[in-house]
Amino acid sequence: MLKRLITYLLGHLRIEVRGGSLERFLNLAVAQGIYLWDIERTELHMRASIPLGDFWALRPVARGSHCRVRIRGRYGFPFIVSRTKRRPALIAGALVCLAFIFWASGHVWIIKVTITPPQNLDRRAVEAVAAEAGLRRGVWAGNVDLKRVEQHIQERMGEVSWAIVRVQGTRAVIEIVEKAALPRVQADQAGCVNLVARKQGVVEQVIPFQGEPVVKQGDIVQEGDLLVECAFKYWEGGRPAVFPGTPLPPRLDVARIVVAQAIVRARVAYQKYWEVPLTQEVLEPTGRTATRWVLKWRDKPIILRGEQYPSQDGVPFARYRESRRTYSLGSWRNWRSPVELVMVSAEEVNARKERIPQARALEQARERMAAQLRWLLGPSDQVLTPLSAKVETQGPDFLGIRVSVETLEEIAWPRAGEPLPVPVPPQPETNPVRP
Amino acid sequence: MAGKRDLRSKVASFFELPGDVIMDVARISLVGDLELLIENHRGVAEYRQDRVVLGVPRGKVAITGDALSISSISPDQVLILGKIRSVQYLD
Repeated sequence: MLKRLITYLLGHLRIEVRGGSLERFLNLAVAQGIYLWDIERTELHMRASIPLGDFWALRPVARGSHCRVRIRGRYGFPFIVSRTKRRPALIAGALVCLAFIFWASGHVWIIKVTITPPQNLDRRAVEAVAAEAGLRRGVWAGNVDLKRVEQHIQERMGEVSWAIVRVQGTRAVIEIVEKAALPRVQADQAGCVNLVARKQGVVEQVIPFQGEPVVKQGDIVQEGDLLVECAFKYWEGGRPAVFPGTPLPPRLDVARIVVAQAIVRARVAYQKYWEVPLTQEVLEPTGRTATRWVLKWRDKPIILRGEQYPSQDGVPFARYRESRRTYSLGSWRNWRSPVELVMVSAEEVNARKERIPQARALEQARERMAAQLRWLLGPSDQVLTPLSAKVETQGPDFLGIRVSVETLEEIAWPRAGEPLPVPVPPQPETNPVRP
Repeated sequence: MAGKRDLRSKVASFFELPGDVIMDVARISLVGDLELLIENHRGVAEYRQDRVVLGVPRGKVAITGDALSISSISPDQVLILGKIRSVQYLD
């Protein structure tokens, strides 16, 4: 295959040999180092293919064998080039075609808009807003700032929760996620968001900003219990004029949704039971290593160094630690290099069972609880008591350990409540005008 | 000459080496009756559509068949294609 490709690139000739001794011609040509192929013999003559560069070396061969050589065909890249040179319009056409393909593939010709339900937005409106930020049909793809288009859509369209814009070839895709629709309420009602408990605990502190608290310090609350009810009321202790992260206070005349605002802290107790194994596996390297270099052509592996063992992914050890490095020529757009070099180094290890003391098992249980608490607790929450671990059950190769801890957490959680009737604002009194 | 060949044959047999590595002989590979490869040849003695005779170190090899053609030839090897009927050593 490679030989054929090289002969095509360098060019080759189909020659016809007549007269004299054809066998002698073959032997002399081979002795001169000329490669011949596809040799066909007829009664009168012989035809063969030779590399273009060896044609002039045939002259002494033909003389020596008293044969006459004629060219019957010219093949390969050099002849295509020479033929094409005589046709400049063809070259110009090909170059123009290539330039056109490059130009056309660099532009955005299709804009696809996908919108998640409830799909209140119109696709044409999204396209128009994207066009304001520079994404329109026929624009050069490299000139489109995708981040800017995303930001512009989010800023201009209040119904959009977030937007993603990406360009795939000549197609731009705009994905829009709409904001969830607000609950529909009647004209004389306002939406209501209460605060409920998200955990069971003992209330320690209630700091209301807006709404009506229904719990006080010392109350025991269960998960889902109402803590602060939404109401058109501010706590008289003094709501800050600007409270970061909270909505502006509702006005009686225009309020459409009323959100209870408060900080409710409670003592929350956690208990967890774990069975910790009393033996652990220790891996010790034996000192034996195996290295393998594999050249991957697409998915076909070619082993350059090391051997292919039938088991364990080519590693001759039953247990091992593996380090793998991959070198590739990289990627460009949707092209990925088909060739990559993978260097695998495996270190054999022996596994040994080791018994761990009870104190270490207790420590492990405490560490697991601490890891869980890191996920559970927020930035303002704190652990009140040290983690206590007690052995509850003891097996031959495990310990049943119960870990308990108490925390102080913010437990308020918003939940939609029944719509709130909007009170009619007091009308200013008007004195009858006396004539 | 014959004694030298015997010695080479014994060496090849003792070390379990292929004969063509030690001894100066041709290696002939036949793929069905379609393809014949001769390595270590000594040139073409006769070339017709029904018969090809090639020189080898210990004489000549005649290949007979139908529509025989030399697919490629180089100083080391000759590849013959066609319907091969017989391969015969000639002294």
